[in-house]
Amino acid sequence: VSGVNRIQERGRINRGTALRFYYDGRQYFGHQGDTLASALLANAVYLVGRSFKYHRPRGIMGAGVEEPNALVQLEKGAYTQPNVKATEIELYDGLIANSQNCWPSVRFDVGVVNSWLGRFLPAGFYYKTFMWPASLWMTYEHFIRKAAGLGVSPRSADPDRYEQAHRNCDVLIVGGGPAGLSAALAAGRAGADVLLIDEQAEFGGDLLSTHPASGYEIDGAGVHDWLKQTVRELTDLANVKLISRCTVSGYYDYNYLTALERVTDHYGPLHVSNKPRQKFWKIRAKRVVLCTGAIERPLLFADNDRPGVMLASAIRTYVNRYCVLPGKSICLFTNNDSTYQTALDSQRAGAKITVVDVRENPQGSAVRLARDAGVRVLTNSAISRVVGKHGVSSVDVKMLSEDGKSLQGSAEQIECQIVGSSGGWNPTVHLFSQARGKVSYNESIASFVPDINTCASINPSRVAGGIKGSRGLGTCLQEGFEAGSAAAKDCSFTSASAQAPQATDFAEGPQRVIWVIPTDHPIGQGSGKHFHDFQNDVTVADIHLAAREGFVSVEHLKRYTTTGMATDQGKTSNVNALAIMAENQGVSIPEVGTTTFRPPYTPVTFGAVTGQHRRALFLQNRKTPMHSWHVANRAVFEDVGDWKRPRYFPRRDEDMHSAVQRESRHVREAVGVLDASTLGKIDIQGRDAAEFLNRIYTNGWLKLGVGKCRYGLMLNEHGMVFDDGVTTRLGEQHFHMTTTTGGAARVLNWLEEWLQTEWPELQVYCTSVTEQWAVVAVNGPHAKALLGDLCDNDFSNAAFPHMSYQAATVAGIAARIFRISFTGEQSYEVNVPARYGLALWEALVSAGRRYDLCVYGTETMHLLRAEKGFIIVGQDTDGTVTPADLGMQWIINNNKPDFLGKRSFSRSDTAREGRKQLVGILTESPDIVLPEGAHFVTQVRNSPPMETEGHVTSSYYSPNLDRSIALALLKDGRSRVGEVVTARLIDGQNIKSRVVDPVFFDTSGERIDG
Amino acid sequence: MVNSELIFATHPLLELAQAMDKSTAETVVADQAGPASIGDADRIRLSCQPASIKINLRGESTDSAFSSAIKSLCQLELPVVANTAQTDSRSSLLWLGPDEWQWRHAPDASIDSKSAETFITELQTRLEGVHSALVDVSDYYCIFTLQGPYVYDLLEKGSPLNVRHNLKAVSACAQTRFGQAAVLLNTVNDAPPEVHVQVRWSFAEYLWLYLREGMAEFY
Repeated sequence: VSGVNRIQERGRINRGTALRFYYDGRQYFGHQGDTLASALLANAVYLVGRSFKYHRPRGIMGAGVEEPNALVQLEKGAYTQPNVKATEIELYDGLIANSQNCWPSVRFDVGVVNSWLGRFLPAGFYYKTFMWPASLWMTYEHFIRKAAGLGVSPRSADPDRYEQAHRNCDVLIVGGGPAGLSAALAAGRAGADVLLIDEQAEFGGDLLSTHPASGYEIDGAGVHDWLKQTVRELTDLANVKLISRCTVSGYYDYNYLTALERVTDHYGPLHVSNKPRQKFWKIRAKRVVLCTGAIERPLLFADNDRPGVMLASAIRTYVNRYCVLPGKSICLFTNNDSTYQTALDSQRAGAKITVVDVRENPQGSAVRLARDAGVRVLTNSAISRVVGKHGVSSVDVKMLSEDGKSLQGSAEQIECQIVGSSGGWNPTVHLFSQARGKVSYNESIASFVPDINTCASINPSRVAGGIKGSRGLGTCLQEGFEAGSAAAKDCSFTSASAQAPQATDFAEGPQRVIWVIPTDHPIGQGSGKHFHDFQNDVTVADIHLAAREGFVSVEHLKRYTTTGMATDQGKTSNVNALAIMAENQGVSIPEVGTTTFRPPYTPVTFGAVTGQHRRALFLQNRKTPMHSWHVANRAVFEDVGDWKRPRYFPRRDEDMHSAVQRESRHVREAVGVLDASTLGKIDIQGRDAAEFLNRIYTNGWLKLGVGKCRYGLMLNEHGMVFDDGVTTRLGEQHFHMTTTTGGAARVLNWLEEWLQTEWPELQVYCTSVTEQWAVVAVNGPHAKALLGDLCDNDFSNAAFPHMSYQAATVAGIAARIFRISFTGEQSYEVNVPARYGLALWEALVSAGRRYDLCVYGTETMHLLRAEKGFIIVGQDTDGTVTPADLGMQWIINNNKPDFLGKRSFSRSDTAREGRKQLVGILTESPDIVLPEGAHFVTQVRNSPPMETEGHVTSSYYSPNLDRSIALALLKDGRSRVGEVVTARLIDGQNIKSRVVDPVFFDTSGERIDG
Repeated sequence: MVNSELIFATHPLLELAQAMDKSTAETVVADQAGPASIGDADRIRLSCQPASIKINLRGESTDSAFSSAIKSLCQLELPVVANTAQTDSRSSLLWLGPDEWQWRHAPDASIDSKSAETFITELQTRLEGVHSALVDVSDYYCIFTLQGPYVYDLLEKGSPLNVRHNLKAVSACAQTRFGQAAVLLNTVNDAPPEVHVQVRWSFAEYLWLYLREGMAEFY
């Protein structure tokens, strides 16, 4: 049931389970252990998609991460995922996948018209054609994206859960093939903390694709037995952690790497689990061992993109690992010995094999074995043409000329369903390149290998196996073991066993490098196209064209032709592209240079990058101890930093305006309470505490009496207002500082920075106590009476004057009461330990009933302070405002030897005329409330630009003055009191307003004493 | 009117407890009005400790007047090795920085905010004239307990610190972050591990939700 191409081998699939899946709406079956690609091939589905630009039919080409063609749209609805490689999707029951980039169907695709127009769609076509008129780009883009895009993104929210996790280790080994396993054995046995990561479902790498009968042995055992035993040994080592289905996606500085583990993807979206779908690992490793292997390089011959043309090694994987023989007759086209193992394994599986080898006299041991087994080998030959459109029916083979640049003689037509090509192997240097390592060209493998010393100081790492260009199994095991031992030794772990796993290397003959296989016509001038980048649909001719147009730098070439970009990152195309450029320009490959591989190695889901930090965990909701009361009493909350503060408490169907008007009137007429717990609080102690404050604040602090409070402005070095608050002297060497809610952490950092770096001689300790204290601000004419009912202290002005502090017991709770006012009313800020915050609040609300108490929120607080002209740092200031600009010269004590910001007052810009100054603004029409941010203009014109001379910083309708009020920063404002200025609104209205003093209410300040 | 019943009237996890679906594994303990614990200690368990005294201590460790005064009252040596704690059955002294420690008394029903004041007054008398600062932070923080073999697997989901290494030893402590919350971690047991996680009161709900989600796969 699982497909016509399935063969009777054991492989690594579980024939006991039949899994149903759907591809393009049709139902198929496969087995556990299959990938979607192997199951499709087993069912003889060769055509899987259309190419990116020309919409040419494309089939499965590889068997793993290198696959450029078989990108599918996986699953539906919210779970759908575009551009997933069929070769990397583990089959599960009920899987649904669809081909993408084709309409109406993969067999009949309208977009193929692009292919007929191919000669008009050269490299850079979009750049050239859609450049003008620029105004039409948005229109063009819409259609280009539709036509050229890959899959489609889901439109609904991601229903899955993702996690991030951090992991530290001594040795991180990337890649669990022979070299990686051997490295893990060495480092693990030595006792190092080892993390071994592999992208596949099973460890083993190339061993998984090795047939038990192929003659390979490790330490005298069959490779599959050795693999089983090795994975068991590593699993049993407590100091080794193995993570499969995990792709290291990025290699950043100082051995910081990221990896995406697909935890439950292989169960499908309907699987119910307590585990996240994917886990994004953030790894710090002392040493990294890269055993990432090599990826086979396709040969570049005419029509090499036909469905059925594959990588030779992929055929071997399908045969040996997945028990799928993709075709009964296979033509293998190669320039090296590795393909002969594919020939042997495929022939054993029942295929008729022809090998077309570009070499005149291939000599390696596998070649000999294949010939002995009766495989037909055509030497010094090349495929000149592939026949078939949606699949392969035959190939034409011709003899090569001596220089390999042309063909000769007549063609032999060879019937075949599958073509396997191999142009050698490219070490997978992507991660090494991301780590800022440089690669050097190795002539013998015609590819780039890591130059390990180039990133050693930033990213101490080692490489072993295929990434070094090594081919033999024995060599890979040996190199892995050495690298693992050395990495462990770098972390001070010495290996007990010095013996690497042993295996024999089969002798391989040299390859013959012909970068572009000639065909019957010159490249780019006939029907046959030589594709080198299958995913981005780029041909050899495109590179030639780019060169003719002057794109001779490899980085320009990459962007102009899009070679090696996007999700593929040039896995099969990169080296071929460089070689074509070099050949075209008549220079050596190293002279052309390389592009830089960038993270991620393979695509990473946004969900995984976001991890847990979404919904309730996106940002903490900080709540005060009284929060539950606020909720129960219908508070509307405001975000202040990450705090939730009640903004107002609407009664019945009040809107914000009417609630705030009522609250604001009420506080001035009776009494109101505000939850002020979020204010920043810092405990300051030490012999030099007063001197410290004297330097931090602009005013004098040395003579402040114990039990007295003082308002202070903090400036930065530039003399600009940075924070404000009231600080109280609790004892001779003990102060309690308050900061703005948002400034709490910033101010403590600021204090510590000056103490630790500039004034270490001062004996002062600062400790944050923000959340130790819950604070209720009691404001209004009845504040004294209310507190008097709950507390034994004498609240007369003489006994407890404004700007002083007393310890007290309020409603039975030990409290600190600060008599300070942000409203201009009698005002007491009652501080109790946080656990009693709610009890205090409830006691005040309850006792306050006889005084007609109201609870109020931040909006009323803002309005009341604006009536008094009190600033809010960050609202009426913006980092460019000095105390003088605010009209607060009274707070600057110039007799002090120094304080932070003092010297900046003599800066020409700070001292100049024409600075913006804080003023009050009264609109001529008292009902108009200016929008905050509205600009005053020097001269009104019909349309912008107009010269601005300042802007509104705070604006309210004051119920206590029964008119609108505003604060503004206005050029030379204070000397313009009485002048009429015009605010130009964004809707074109011009509002005439009078400049006034910023104190609107109770200008004599008599209410504060009651 | 103030008594110990009030202690948890404003429990940081109160809302969570009220909103809690009764079918979840979280249990509500009446006198704490908060979700007291989730999970089981054989695999992983998260619980919230009752209130305790916490005093922030600042001083010079090289000043013997300071260290001996601390020792005489706390009955513990002042830890001078970075990220270590001294502990006995009654209390712990945790290293927070070269001149900063936290003294923490084990939760005890008889403790209220006066107890911290009593301790501070007593210690201040002994530290007369010594450069130091003692600050009550009992109500600033609350403490969660994590127990079970999966503690480090859970902690690594939020903390970039090498928790397996830095918190391996009993009496290890470290200030780090978990998600966006600043936390103070200290190991009080190994085999299986038990780690105390101190967090700002206002971040407690966030941290609880984060830990609860992260531990789901382990129990």
